[in-house]
Amino acid sequence: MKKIRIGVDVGGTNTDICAIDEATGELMVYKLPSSLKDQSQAVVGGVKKIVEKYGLVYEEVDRFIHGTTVATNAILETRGARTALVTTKGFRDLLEIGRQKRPDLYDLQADKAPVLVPRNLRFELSERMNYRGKILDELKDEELLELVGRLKESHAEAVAVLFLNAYLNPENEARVKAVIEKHLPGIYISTSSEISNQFREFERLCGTVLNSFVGPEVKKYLDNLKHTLEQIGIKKVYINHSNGGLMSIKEASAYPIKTGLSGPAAGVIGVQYLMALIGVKNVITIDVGGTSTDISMIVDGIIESSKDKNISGYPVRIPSIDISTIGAGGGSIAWVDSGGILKVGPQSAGAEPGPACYNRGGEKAAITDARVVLGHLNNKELLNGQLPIDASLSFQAVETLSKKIGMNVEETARGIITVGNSNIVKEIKNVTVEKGYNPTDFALVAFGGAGPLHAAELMEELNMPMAIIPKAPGLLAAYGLLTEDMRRDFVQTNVMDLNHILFSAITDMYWRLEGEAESWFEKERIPEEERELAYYLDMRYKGQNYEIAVNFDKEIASMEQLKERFTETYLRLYAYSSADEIQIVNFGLSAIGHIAKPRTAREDYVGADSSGAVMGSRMVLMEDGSREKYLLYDREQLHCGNVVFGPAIVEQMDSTTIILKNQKAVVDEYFNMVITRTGGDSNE
Amino acid sequence: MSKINSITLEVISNGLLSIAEQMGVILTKTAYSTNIKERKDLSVAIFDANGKVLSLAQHIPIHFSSLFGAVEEALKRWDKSEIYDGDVFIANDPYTGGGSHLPDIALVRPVFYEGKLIAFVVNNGHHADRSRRGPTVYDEGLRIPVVKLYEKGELNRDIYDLILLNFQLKEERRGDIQAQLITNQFGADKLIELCKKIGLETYFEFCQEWLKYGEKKARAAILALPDGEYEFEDILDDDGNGNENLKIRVKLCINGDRILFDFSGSHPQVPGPYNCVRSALLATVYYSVKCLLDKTIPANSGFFDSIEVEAEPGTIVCASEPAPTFDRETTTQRLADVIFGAFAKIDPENVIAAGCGAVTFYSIAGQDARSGKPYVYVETIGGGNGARYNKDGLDAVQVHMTNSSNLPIESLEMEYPLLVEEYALEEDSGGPGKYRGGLGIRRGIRVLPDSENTMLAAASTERIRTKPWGLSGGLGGATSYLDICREGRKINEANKVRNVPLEAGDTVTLVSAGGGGYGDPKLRERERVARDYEEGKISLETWKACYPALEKTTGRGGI
Repeated sequence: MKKIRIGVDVGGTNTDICAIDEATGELMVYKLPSSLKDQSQAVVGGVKKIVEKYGLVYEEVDRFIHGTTVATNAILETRGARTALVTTKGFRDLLEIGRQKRPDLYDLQADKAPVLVPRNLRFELSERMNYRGKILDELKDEELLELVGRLKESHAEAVAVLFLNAYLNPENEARVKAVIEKHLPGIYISTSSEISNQFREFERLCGTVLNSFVGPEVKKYLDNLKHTLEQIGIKKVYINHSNGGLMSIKEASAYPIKTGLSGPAAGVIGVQYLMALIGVKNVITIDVGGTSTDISMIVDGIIESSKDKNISGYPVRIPSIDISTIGAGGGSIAWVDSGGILKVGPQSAGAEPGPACYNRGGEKAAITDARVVLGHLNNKELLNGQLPIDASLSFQAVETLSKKIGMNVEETARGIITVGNSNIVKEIKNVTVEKGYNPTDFALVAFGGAGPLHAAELMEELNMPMAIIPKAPGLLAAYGLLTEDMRRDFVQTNVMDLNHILFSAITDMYWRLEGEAESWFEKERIPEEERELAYYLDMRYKGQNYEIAVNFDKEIASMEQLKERFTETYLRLYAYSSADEIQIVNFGLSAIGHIAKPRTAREDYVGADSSGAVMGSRMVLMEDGSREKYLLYDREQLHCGNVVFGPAIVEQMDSTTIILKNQKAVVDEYFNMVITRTGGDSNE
Repeated sequence: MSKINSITLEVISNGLLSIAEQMGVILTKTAYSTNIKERKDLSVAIFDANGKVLSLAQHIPIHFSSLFGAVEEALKRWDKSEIYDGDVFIANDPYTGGGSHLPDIALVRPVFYEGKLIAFVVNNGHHADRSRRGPTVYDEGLRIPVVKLYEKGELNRDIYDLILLNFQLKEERRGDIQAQLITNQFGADKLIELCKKIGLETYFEFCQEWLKYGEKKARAAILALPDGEYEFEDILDDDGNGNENLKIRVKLCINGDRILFDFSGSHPQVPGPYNCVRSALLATVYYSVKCLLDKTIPANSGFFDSIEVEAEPGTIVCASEPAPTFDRETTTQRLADVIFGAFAKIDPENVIAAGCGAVTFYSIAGQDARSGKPYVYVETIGGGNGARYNKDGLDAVQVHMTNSSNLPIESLEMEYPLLVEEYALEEDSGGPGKYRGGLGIRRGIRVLPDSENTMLAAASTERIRTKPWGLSGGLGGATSYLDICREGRKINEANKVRNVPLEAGDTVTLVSAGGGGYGDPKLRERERVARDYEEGKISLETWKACYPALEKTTGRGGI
């Protein structure tokens, strides 16, 4: 019997379904509009369709992997359960005070993110722990009982519990949870020490409150989905989380906040997998859609993650793939400001009305319109004819703009692209400098519908050595799901001065985390040979308040080696090191349960000649106003080893790739297009 | 043909801003002290070769005041022929170093390309060390005029040692200065990279056009204002030295595309540390213009130079040597209030009511018995912000000239022998109105037995006597206060204190003011009043007193 793995990624517009035959690598795809009211409709409907379309049977479905945005959407729309908060006496307003910052320095109308628990549902208990987790003030039984009464009166559907310093001692939180569970069964409850064992109370509080806020809805959604899938015979169901790994439905129901940033994560995992196959280790990924661009990094084969992200203005300190998002996409609108400068975005025409050329009522010039004017994009139709294009509308829109800045249409269209790219370039620079890297040491991997259009230009702008366009740029998120492993991240804050402890104290500290990982492996029934543990420490110089993650692998066997590793890492990030005392702040442990990878479709070397894929040519407007002939290729017809010399345009169903003059693209054995320069290292 | 047009202007300025932002990232990350790293008490800027600001990445508006004077002073002190590649200037003095108070130390690095001085990269960080306050600037710490810390790449060890010797937390200072040096080095490298790419000719042309653009945006915004004169005045409570009711006034004169801020008639400078030097005054004016006229005006000298500012030297808003300036940010808060008040006369809907109007802070110093080392803990506390014409004011935020974050409680309890007892919204503190002013904050902290030789080095708050004003019929927010308690008894009278010895078990509680309301309270929707009551943001008394037409009908939840 075949073994089929299905990945379903729910996006704002479409639900993408990728199925793969684990043995042959045969890839099956299906796209349908997302069902926004109840995501599971399109999810289950889509699965049925793909099974029908490719003549599969449900018994063949080995694993079902799902990327869901139920939690994310509930947060973005501030639509969640009636949530109560229980906290240390004197601190119920922490949620509202936050870090005391106003959201914008100059915008008097700007508001903070809405407070998710009204003040009258925030309850205080007189308990207190100190900075070592020692209980200074015990919980009182009578207060607990009173609390139960108040919670009952409040009709709260969910509760979040945070006590100060509980990251070191979960005792009081656990006690409160037990009492609430006993007296108010059915209420959704999360405690801060379950969500994160890291210090910094406000961020931990936000994560806990968000978890409870979206918990009931996510739980209901997942329960239903599980039930429906079971009925059709699909049993192994996994949910994608924000750190690019899978968890069980049960875990996802208990910690839905872990899916909060999972939307763009799967695509990055897909890139990581594809790049590992071809031995490319250092990658900057850009996922360009209609309204935004997501940027992330893979360093030495490992995806950069962060514990310091936020969702819709709410900070969450949960390990997540470090993705930065900016408002620059195909639909980003170009405009002229009051000083006469050309700006692009962050406002977007989105899919509705879309760029002017969609002829759906959009009148403003978007990046896509500039591409149409320049001849980068097909001027008749996109998406294999599903999306007709009216190039004259693009021309009109850009012309209107060009009059405002006193330039001609061509210059203006070029300008829109240049300005749009400069926004992305600025963000890529910020992201790399933050991590202590230089874009010139990385390959650019572009995906999302619009990514391949920008890749060649961004590669030149950032002086990067190559850009790589995966085979199915528009489906990478759904594809990425198929390549993921089970993963759970454990983090524990415990500040230790290296000079005051023995090396064994570190290993001792890990015993507890390893124990937790062990029980997770057992609970998820992960076979022993598939288990892997990865260790890292967040460290800093004493007195600093900012930690860096240091790999704590088997090579480090002494304090001296650890110090050395820290110094190395610090030096790379900040270009200096110090003789000061070093501290460990967090102990990190990632538990990974490997899932066998499906085969990836590949092809043996066919030959350099790409003439078989030429569909014709298109005249493209150049900077000096002249027109240059770009050969037009059909991506479906390109084979391993084919070389496409720029200037050229490669079209495929859901994406268009530009290859500039002095560049060439080589198709590799996995059908990636690898764009490099033809002469020298740089075009400058 | 000119290479600068609507597109290159945007692309190159984006490139410059990118460099400034990256410098900000690097300084935050490499800085040593909590104050710079965690609270982001820093600013970064790029100046052209003539000392004009091109680009600015700031986290706190007041900080700008300590930034842009340093280049000007350097150019006054040295002829351009005496400025070399590899030089680094260091400065903090408000009167000779372009600073605005001594804790802000600016580092300036000239940038050379093809042998030509093309720019200065500058950054500035607030070095929270032992705070000193006294009747003159001489009492406030080490004064550094603009001096060369490096010349042609060589460190002037004597100056460096001299500076470090004057600080208590030497390692922190050394680490922070190191971070500032790295930041400038990075900025210089990136700027040179940019010039390589676009060519020097284009770069110089860009500088000119970019400043013109700033001016154009500013003038267009001014032109949109109705011509006329608009006045407003307000007072600071006191200077902590017994001088009370310090008047601050402004007259706005708008004529076509020109605007003049005239601060004549403001109180003479005082012996307390609340004097602003001119750069702090300018920073406040620029901040206000950005908020009230057009927040998209780029922060460059083209914009700054199109604003006219008049102030008499020797006044609290334009102090002369040797007036102390340590806590000048408190005064800039009132300056912003006054400017906003004057603009309210043009169109109240375009401004907001007065916010808490203070930089409410305390600084506790002592010896940590756990480590045997001295510590200094500084925290600023937000307050209520003013109500808006269409919605309530923000509760519990930093207003106007500052926007620093707090130190996480779990972080501070780990680092200092102190325990936070309470951190809460102050009920009933928002000024009543159709839209309510934001609530102030109450924060109490207790000294633990591990703290020895403990001293409340300073604590200060404002709006003790006068309420933050409301607009268009809205009422004022609640006033603020400071409580120092020993065994449950209040031991202080003043609300601005210095060097108060503390004992283990003592608590220091600061309550910041609430924001003013907007519009007649009678017009407040019943639902909003009820919700405020339900949430305990207003009391029954306030309900009865301020919103009399509305009857209480619902019960009250919460503990």
